[in-house]
Amino acid sequence: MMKFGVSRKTISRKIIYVRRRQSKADGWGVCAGKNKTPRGRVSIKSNIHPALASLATTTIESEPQQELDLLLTVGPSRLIFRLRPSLIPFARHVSSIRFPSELPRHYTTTFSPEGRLYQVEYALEAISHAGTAIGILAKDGIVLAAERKVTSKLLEQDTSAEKLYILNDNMICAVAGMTADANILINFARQSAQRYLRTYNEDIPCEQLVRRLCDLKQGYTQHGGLRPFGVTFIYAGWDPQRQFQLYLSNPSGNYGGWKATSAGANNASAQSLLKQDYKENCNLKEACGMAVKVLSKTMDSTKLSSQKIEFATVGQDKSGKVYHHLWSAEEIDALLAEHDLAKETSSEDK
Amino acid sequence: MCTDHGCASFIDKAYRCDQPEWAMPHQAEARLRVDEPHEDQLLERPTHLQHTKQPFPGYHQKMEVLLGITGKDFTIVASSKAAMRGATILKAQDVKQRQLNKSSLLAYSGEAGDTVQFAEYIQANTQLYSMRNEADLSPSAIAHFVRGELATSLRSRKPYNVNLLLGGLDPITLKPSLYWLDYLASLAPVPYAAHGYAQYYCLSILDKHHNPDIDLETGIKLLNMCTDELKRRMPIDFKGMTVKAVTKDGVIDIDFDDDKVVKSA
Repeated sequence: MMKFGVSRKTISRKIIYVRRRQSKADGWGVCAGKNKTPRGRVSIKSNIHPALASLATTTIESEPQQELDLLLTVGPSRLIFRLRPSLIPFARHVSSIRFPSELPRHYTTTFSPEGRLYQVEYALEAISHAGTAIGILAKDGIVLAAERKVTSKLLEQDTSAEKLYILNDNMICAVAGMTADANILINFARQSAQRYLRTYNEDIPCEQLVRRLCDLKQGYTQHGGLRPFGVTFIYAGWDPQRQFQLYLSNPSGNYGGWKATSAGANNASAQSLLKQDYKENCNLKEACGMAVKVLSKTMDSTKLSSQKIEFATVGQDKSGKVYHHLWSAEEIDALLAEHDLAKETSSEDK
Repeated sequence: MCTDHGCASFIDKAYRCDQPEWAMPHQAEARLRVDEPHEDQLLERPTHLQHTKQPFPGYHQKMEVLLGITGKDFTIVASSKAAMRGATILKAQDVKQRQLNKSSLLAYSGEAGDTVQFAEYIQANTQLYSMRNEADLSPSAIAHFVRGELATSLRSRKPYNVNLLLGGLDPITLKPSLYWLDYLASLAPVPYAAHGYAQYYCLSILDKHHNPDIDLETGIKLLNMCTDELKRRMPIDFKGMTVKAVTKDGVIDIDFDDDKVVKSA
């Protein structure tokens, strides 16, 4: 006997019977309960992986009626249906499942009666629990700093950059939110940047890259049935037209250019601290100082260490060439010591 | 009639004959003949383009004159006014140029239909970019984009047969630049350039007299020297030149004396 697994979360019915349509040899009808009116169409994957067979844990509760060819049962998180052996030859022609239209399908991307998109708001909510990330624009560079949530003595420091990523030769970004979602977007951004470079033999202008990512993010707030990316990015970059630039984008697909901005937990208080402390025309060194100070105030512990934060800068070297630099643990500790924010070495590690 | 075995086939005799291959010398021969390329094919064109039509510029296409000269703050782009088909001049006021954005200019020569089609395709894409991004593409970016398009086209069933000069000023640094492109998707940034037979007459003059610091007036003088030489040496009348220059004020038309008579050597 062959069994098939299909993931479907929103089905409330316990049992759905499926029978073959009389009129069409390769069409299938769905019936709810004992009601024999076909609703929607069902089709079945032609090649089912044997591993799926083990997913079918539910047994057939009663012998299906004579004309029923297929029985679907619904588990808590997945839909499992079973095929009678006599029908296996027919199943080979069929390829996907469609569900009765009464089930809520697009609710991630439809407006609520108050005109809101809840999934987008939930995504923003998810981000507000993530570690803080801040970015400050100076006249000769940009600094990005981020709070690391996962800290452990056992964690390999060098190999697990959690929140700061390089996008291309003149752009980096900080992530607040779900790192796994961010990886998808960062991969996309890197590809876009390289595609532009291949076409025009020039690095992509910062705003264009930001916009390209935001277009992708926006798509998930409009097109069916998918979850928006739960990520807010802070981008730092340089291009010949607008020099140093700092952008922030959120799950809704909005973005904006900033002089100093923040995302993640305590983002409101970080923002107001930045508003207080920000000086026009500050240089990169002052901006780094400001960044650690703001982080130390918004994070739970007052004494910081290189384990708890990540740091990166974009700047220009003496020849005018743009560099970006993800700081090593030693450099971060040196900066913290300079601003008297470092954890004493005597106190034991967590 | 299959003489070897006496079977009834003639043209495709080998395939109807039931005998094994070793017993059918004529079939082996026929295969050989099919696989060998025809001599003419090898002479005419590169193997990877053999299935396409007319890959090389004809003689009349090489008679079209394209010239480009850069200086300290400008790029001059000039093209001949004669639209030719074979030995006939169809039009004497043709403008073989398209302005792409505020600071770049594309001059083209080659197969009659391809040129305008391709130039307008590039123009449309450049303008779309400007509209979308509120910033113009630099001449270098356009040149590389065009090269990519030509390279794709070259490997298609019907490649564009177009040669181009792309002149412009970088919108940010205001540095003048000139790019030489041909139908085989070669790209070269150059201080001065020509396409077709004009290369043979003009490049030596420019080699001798050009330097990167000249002003627009000197550039035009140089251009005059080139066209004089063309009038003196080239066997056809190219009906004068359309001359434009890209400067920091954008693309400007330049009055050019087409009626000057140059005595043959």
